[in-house]
Amino acid sequence: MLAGQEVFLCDGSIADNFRQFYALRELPEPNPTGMRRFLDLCACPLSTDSPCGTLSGGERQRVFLAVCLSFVPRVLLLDEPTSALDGDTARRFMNNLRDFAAQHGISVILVSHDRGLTASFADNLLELA
Amino acid sequence: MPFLLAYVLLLMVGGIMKACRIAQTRLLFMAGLRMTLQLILAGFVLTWLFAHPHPLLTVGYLALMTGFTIRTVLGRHPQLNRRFACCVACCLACCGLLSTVFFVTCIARQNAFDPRYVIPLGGMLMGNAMTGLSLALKSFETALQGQQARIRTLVNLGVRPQHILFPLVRTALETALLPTLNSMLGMGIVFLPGMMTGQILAGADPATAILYQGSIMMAICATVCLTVLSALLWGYRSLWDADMCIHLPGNDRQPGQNA
Repeated sequence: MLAGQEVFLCDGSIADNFRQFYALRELPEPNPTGMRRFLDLCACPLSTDSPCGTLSGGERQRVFLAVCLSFVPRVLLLDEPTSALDGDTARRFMNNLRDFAAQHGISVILVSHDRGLTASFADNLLELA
Repeated sequence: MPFLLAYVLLLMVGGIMKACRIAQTRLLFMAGLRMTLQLILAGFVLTWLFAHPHPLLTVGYLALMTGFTIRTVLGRHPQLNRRFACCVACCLACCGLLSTVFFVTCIARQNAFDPRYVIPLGGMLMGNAMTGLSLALKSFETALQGQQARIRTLVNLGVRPQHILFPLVRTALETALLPTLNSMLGMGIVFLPGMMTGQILAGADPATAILYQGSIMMAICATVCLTVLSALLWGYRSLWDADMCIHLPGNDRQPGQNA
């Protein structure tokens, strides 16, 4: 699964987005506790009833990542997942992501321009000149 | 000769367009001239055909009409891939011809090769199917271009292409049916349609004209719906490959690829 830089969310609330993405993947609707868990994992303290139209760029990115992570893919490709996040939130998200991926055996391939972040979290680092 | 006076109206429109510097003035006169020549030619051909009816000639005329409608639709949508274009051509031909045969034999209860029935009715059904399909393809292509972010995201999330593209097919079908449905709503109150007006002016009983008009409108609606739905449902499957990667018409960059 690839979570690109471009964030796409449907109209409606965060919960509506979870439901729509799950319906499109023909999966049973996630429960509110599950949605909350993945939002917290992505350092997103918003209510699941928050309308996506009013979210900031960083919030949209975290909601989108929460939806992606909730599918628990075997391999997750992330393209600049922290580009719209401030330093603290980015670190919190990366810590949670590393723990979650280790727990569930998810291989994460992450592209980032933030050398500090990659140095702290990457198991293997490939630098492109 | 009094019919020539109608061309004064065309000159008037041309004059207004010229005064307002609307760019399509030349096209207006070209369209007027082409329509006149085509109608004169059709008049000669039909007069001869009705005087010498033969199944082969009727089939030949229908084939010519079908070929022209397919060429017109595909000419307006050159970005369609080869398989999609084949689907469009097959569906337009099959639905148009089948509904013509059904209307002539089952509703009008005439010989399926009688040119006096088959050619005008087939023309109406084919023409409307052509317009409906053009509108639907335009709406479908515009949606494909406008919803690239959605398509890319959903492909990346592993959503099946059918689920990503089917809402676009639905919207295209709605767009195609709208003109027919609107004309059905206003018919008889706002305007009397061309076929009915023609029959009444030619001296037919209005009751007969109404029967024909009502049934032809339903046949048009069904033909447009069947043509568009079958062409899009069959054709949109050509937009993705075995790896579930969607290939947008006229776009080298794939939705599954990010910059």
